[in-house]
Amino acid sequence: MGIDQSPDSRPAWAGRLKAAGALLLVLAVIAVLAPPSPPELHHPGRIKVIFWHAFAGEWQPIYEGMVARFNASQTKYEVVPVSVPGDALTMKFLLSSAGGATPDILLDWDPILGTWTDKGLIRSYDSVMSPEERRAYLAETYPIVKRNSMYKGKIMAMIDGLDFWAVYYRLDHLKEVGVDKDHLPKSLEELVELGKRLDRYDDQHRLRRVGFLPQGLVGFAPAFGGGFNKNGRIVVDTPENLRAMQFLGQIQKRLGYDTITRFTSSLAADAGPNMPLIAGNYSIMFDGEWRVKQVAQYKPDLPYIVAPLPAPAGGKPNACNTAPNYLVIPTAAKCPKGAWEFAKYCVGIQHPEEGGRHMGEMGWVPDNPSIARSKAYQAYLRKYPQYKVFVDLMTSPNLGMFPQGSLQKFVTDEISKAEDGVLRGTLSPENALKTVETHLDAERERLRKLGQPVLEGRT
Amino acid sequence: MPEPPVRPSRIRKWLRKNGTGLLFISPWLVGFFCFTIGPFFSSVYLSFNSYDLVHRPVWVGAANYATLLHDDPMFWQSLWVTVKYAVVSVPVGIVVGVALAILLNTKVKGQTLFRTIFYLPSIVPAVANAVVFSWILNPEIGLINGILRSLGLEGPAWLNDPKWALWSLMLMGLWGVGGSMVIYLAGLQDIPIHLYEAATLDGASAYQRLRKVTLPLLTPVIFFNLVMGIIGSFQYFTEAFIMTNGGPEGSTSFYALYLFQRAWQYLDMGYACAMAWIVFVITMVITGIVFQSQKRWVHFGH
Repeated sequence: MGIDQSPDSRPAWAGRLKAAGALLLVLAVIAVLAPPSPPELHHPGRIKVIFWHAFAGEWQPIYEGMVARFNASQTKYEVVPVSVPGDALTMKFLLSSAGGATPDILLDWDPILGTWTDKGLIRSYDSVMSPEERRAYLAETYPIVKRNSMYKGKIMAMIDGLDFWAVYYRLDHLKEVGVDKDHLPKSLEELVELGKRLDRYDDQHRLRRVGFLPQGLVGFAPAFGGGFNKNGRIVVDTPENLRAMQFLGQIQKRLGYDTITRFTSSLAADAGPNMPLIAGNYSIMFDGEWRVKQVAQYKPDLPYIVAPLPAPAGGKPNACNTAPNYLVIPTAAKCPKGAWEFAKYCVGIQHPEEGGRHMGEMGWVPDNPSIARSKAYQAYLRKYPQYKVFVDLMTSPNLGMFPQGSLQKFVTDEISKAEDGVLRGTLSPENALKTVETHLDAERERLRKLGQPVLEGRT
Repeated sequence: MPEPPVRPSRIRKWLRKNGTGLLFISPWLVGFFCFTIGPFFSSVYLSFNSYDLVHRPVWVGAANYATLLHDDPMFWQSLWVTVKYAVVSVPVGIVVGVALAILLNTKVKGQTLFRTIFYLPSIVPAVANAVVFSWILNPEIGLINGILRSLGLEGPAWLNDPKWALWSLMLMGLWGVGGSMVIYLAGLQDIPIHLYEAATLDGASAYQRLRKVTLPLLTPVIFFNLVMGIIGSFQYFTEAFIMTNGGPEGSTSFYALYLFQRAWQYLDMGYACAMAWIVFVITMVITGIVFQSQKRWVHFGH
């Protein structure tokens, strides 16, 4: 009897063995051909400090240049910078926290401090600072920087760049109506009147240039004496905030929401050589300090001047909102001490010259007077004298902050919706603010029902 | 006495037969169980918890569901926006897809080129589509309003106008109709030619052939696309997230967008899981109704 050689008679394990062999072969080929991952550490003997930030494009090499200088100054730590897309940074951090594999330090500009503190996601700097360092920080840092960095009595963040807003005037536009830099408006009402004279329409009555277009309740509320944090609680419906909302609504009504929508949608870009100030889309803009450097880069001969927002009748001078970049240390950080060493270098604590250089390169305002007085920062101010307005604003007592606490994201979204309703004319300013308060109360109640603690405000 | 031959068990038999195949699809199986089935069932549990992604889930019973149904107007608003979108975009997508497929099924010169052109938009990523349409629908420098202006008409502000924003997204949805069009086209080519010949011999006009032959025999494909369209509408997210983020005035606050906001912006994962299960049940019920109704209008050719 001959042996059956047909394939069907082969033992089944032979087929499986072949398949497993093929799989292993494929994996081996991938393992051999795959390029090795680039070395993460340039100094393998040092302790690794993972740092997430969201700077990209032209800002990434500038920012990471500072990281390289820190590494060059070190013998103990090496910071490994990781640029994470800005929109995804918060989500990635939350996922990494859930998995217990966070970076050692990260920089985020979303309003996160209250929420992340209350959720136990980040640790206080008090735990890594020496008592002397803490005392020096509290004594030397500008008050508004301290307010932004602290939450419920603890230092929860270092502020690596605090944004301020002031008024940018195009002097060539002002000249058209006979105004020069020595006769700028003395009140917000005068500013609005000047803006009206600078509006320009084409022959089809399309708005082609806007004199002055104030937008953003959070930004303008401080000038009216308003704000969103009171006695450890978020407040929205206050007489001061109402005045600010009415002011914004009136301006919008004058020009017409549809007209403004069409005008703003026609603007080429928010940054770069076609940014609105350079393109001349606006004659007067209430904008942030970063514009100074952008103008110098793209249109250095632009005739403009910067000045603080003039106060409205009964309002506050030298007022604006502030928006920080938070450098925070996650609770699960493996190397919090290294993170603190890096944070100190970054914001210039104990390193004022490096801080001055970093703040200048990024176009930011320094955290304390010794950095402002540093040679590097003074050289920067000489190069960009318009910046001095923002440095002077640092000491103003009339600076505002975003709503704080666990519900800060919720309330910020609600304020945006309310403002949109007012600008469109579908909500009165009074109803808009009341609606925010109603929704805020409903959200507090909802969270209570679900057994979630409602923590808000700074105490 | 000789020992009886050992008979392999059923499982071993099955494994012997399918083992190699299972080994090859094992990477997918692992992913499916870990990243689809696992989260699917864990979301049931989480929907009865208060969970912020960081701390341990805390059991709250049916509180998430009760709050959603009784105390959350945004839940109802977002559901209503999504239903409106589904009610309009699904039938319109079917009509346009079938019409295009019929057109592209005719024998004309360059037919392959036309098919490619009409199919191309459906392979463009949703994000790229959203960016392009943001420009097309720009009220001042956009393509559509530019054309309308050349005709002496002033177009609306599209995505910035609460009356038009949802319609704009529906209009944009038609851009990707090429995907379903290809399926209709395959369905059309499956219809036996002798049915058309018989109808023609009986004196049927082109319209009658369409009504009495083409559409009835295309109903299985229409049914498939209807079910997929309904499911897709309840998952509509990317374009709204990029182009309107729920605005203006909540006119495009889709259900999936609100779910995302609750989960990732307000860290309310338990609540978001409950939302996911509610929409799952709604989709299942609607799909079940459609399946029930198919006995009356879907012709499988037997």
